Amino acid sequence: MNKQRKPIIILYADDDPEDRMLVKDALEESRLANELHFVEDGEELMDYLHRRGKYSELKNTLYPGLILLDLNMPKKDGREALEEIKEDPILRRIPIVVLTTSKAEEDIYRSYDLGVSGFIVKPVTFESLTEAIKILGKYWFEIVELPF
Amino acid sequence: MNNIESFNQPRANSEWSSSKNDGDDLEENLWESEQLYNMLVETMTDGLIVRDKDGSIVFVNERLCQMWGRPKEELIGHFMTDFLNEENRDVFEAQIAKRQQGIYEPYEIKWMLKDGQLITTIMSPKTIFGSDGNFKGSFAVVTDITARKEAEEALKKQAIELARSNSELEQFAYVSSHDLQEPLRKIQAFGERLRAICGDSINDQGRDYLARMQNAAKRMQVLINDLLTFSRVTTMAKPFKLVDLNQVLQAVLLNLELLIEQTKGRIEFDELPTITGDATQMRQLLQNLIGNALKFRRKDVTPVVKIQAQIFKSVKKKTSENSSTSNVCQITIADNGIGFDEKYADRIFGVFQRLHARDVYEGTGIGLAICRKIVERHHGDIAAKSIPGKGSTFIVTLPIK
Repeated sequence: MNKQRKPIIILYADDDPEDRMLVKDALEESRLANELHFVEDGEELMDYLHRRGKYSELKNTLYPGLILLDLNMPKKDGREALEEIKEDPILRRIPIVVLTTSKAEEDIYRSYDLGVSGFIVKPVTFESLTEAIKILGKYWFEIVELPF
Repeated sequence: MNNIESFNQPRANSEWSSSKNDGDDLEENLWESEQLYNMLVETMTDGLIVRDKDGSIVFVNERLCQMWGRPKEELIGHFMTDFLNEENRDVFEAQIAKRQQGIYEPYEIKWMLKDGQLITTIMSPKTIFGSDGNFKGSFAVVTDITARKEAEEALKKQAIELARSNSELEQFAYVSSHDLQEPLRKIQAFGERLRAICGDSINDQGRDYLARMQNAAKRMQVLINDLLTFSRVTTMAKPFKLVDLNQVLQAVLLNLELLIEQTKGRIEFDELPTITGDATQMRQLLQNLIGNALKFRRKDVTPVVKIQAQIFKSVKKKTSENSSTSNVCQITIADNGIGFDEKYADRIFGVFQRLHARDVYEGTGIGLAICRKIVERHHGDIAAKSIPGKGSTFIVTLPIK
């Protein structure tokens, strides 16, 4: 069903190095062949998506097929970045799944209001994280059609 | 001294002297009543002050001299306004204007002592009219309320301080439990990774240590979650609405279905009232209490939980000025479980207070603390009675409004 055989990129925005490590491990564990790219705050995320600054060489490459977004990040947090992405006529098409420690109702409502495709509270155990990544991969890269 | 006599002078001339001829009895009576009057004025615990129509002081009693810290000579003949600062002078002038219209009402005013210190008093004034009906002056009973005022101020300050430190604590519990979860999650996750990846290369003892670490981390997770739940009683509070406790109870029984089935428990309940409150918290309250009643059951005895409600009419609440009459409902949740020593009846409502070892009854000991917090938020009260080996009764009192 995939239009091109190129692996779909997952972009993971999180300032926490251990969480980035765990997600990377979980992705390997779940045998997903996706490329995983990291950005460490909202500003880097916007630079990455707009292909500017240190990400300018990404011009003319494929947008990520899925963004995993942490809400609490330095400089520009996930909420602000989310708002910006959803205001952009092209970027808004990229599905975003929030991956955060926040369980606050307010964050959940606000995120969906801004058009996220999912809201996941960071699983406590590695096992459940792997399980979540596996299901995410199956859903986004096997079942649904992606815009890019 | 002279001044008092001058105030008392009318007695010597005018009407009284003319009646002198009527006999010694009258004279004697007058003298007695005069003595009595003097005694009264000088022994009363309040100050007394009389001013003439022009505003100068013509009489003060001993108590007033004490209160204002000045001898009579420094007061008599002076204007009352001499002992007021500007702000209080305005208060006084406004009162005098009323007095001339024959209006008198108690009012609060601050008098200035020699050292500039202010004392707060309540003045209870009365206008003096002459026999011709003309304004002649006024007198006032002066009550020193400085101490009371200071106590009130201190109490008010304390209440504000308490509210502030309470909300700080609230905030602390919420934020810290949130932030504490982060590193804990890592301990758990990497512990898990360690076991998965290196489990084979460490010996049994090492694996035992690892398991203990992970158990401790898991317990910490539960504690933090419970603390979060506890602090959410106030941070995530919803506005009060009408809540039918019968509906709440039905939802609770549905939630506890499995536990009721497992314990073969029997829940008996009365018709419950409708109250004004937070439905989510009422569900939490009943669920914790009924859950506890089933949890602390006796071995080999079918647990029976009785939920009863009673309405008490009009408990006069003397809060500030509005003494409202409100009905209260009392809900009792009685079980036939293991019970507890009543000396712990207060302690069990504390955060993380437990009466049993962790491996006997699970749980962190937050349940009843949440119950109390919820009940307090609803301006109610919760108490427990128990006979060890017979059962416990929890009594929740809530205003109906």
